Amino acid sequence: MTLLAARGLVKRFGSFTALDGVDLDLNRGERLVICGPSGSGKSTLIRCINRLEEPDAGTVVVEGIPTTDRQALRRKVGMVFQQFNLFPNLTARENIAVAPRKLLGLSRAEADARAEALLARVQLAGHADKLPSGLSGGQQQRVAIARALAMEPVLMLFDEPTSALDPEMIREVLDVMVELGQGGMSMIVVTHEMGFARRAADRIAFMDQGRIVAMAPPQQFFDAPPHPRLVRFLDNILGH
Amino acid sequence: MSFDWAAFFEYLPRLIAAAGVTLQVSLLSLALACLLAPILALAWLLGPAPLRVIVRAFIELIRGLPPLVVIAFCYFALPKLGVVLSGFWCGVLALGVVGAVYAAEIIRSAIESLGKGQFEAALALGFARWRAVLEILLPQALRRILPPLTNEFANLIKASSLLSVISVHEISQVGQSLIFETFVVIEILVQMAVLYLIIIGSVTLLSRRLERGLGA
Ligand SMILES: Nc1ncnc2c1ncn2[C@@H]1O[C@H](COP(=O)(O)OP(=O)(O)OP(=O)(O)O)[C@@H](O)[C@H]1O
Ligand SMILES: [Mg+2]
Repeated sequence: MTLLAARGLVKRFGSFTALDGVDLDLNRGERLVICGPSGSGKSTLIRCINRLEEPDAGTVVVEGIPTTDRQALRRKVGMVFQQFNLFPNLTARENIAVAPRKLLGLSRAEADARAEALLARVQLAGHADKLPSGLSGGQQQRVAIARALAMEPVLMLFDEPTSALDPEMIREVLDVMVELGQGGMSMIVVTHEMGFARRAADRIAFMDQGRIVAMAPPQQFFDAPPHPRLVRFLDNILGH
Repeated sequence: MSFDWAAFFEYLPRLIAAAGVTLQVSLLSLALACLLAPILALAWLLGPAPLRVIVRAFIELIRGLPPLVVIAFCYFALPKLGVVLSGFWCGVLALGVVGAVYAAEIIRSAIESLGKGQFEAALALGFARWRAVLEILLPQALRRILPPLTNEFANLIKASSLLSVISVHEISQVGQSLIFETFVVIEILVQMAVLYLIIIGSVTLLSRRLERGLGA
């Protein structure tokens, strides 16, 4: 059942300890939301999972993937960034098709077909030929989600996927993510969208100063916050 | 003084033959530069620290030298190191290396200016670092790279005139010796100029085409 097991992750930047011994397990099909104050290590944690950051200590095992092969790991772990990071010279279709074509050996026709199907799935059928500059932020982020899904990952990582969006576009991106979770995708989502967490998460983790200091299902997380610093954090972001 | 058309046509075939040599040296060194430049740029961008230092030092060194010195080095010093090349291949090597270091610098800075986000996105999809640079970032940087690269390649063709000092029978060498042989000066200079313009002009035109092919 366990898909991901992280043990004793430590990451330092110079003398600053960004991750201070993090353990994390994720079951197949589970949706985990991570929240916490700025600088608490949320991004660093999920970037250690697909090894965009190399941890100074600790291990990450994603089921069935040798930890020594970073490329193999990343092909099976999708990532969505705050700033979308689409390739601006490629159309929506090409953004999605380029990795399956070059890394999985799909033919152009196969990769394009996969791209079209994914565009439909993120409600962007008909936008295939547009460049990122011709899409709104919410549309770009949905293309970015489709691009990650095109590699058929077993796990999706999201790093504040709606923080760079205008408020009216947040919903369309979150809806796609909720649907993805309902479809059985294993997900780790760093976000401060507590409505999404309540609606879509199986568990919510709270990070502070490089550690996971609390973790609970949504009900308990919001109604009986298991840590004093979490109480303060929730008061702040929920504006009580 | 009048323009001597008889002399003009008498010497034209020899200069056209020389233009063939200039073209060959230029194209071969261009090809070498195109092959070496991405490798140098990749090593500079992604290599382990010691390799980066060596590559940077090499690039700065060649950029700091007049091309004539590089050519002379290849011709006079390489044989002492056991590498004996004809003047022609010496020219190809020297000009190719000079072109490569300038092109590598152009490629590197264009790629660095793209920022980290897209590089990380490519890595996250599973591209190896060098493939991310070559297959994702480079095509995107190409429009920014091509104009300065064309300049460098035009310079390369002009620099092929320096190969006269190592007796490669290219336009400048043949033109010069014809002038000293015959004292026909203006007619031969005009021929030299026209031939250089044709060669450099075609390369520039070709690259403008490419630029437009890459879209606005
Ligand atoms: N490449 C880096 N070099 C130096 N320090 C870094 C680097 N990346 C992160 N840090 C530091 O590590 C700490 C944790 O960063 P991280 O990005 O993981 O925080 P976060 O919880 O994602 O914060 P935010 O909510 O602002 O995104 C921060 O104090 C940050 O300044
Ligand atoms: Mg962050």
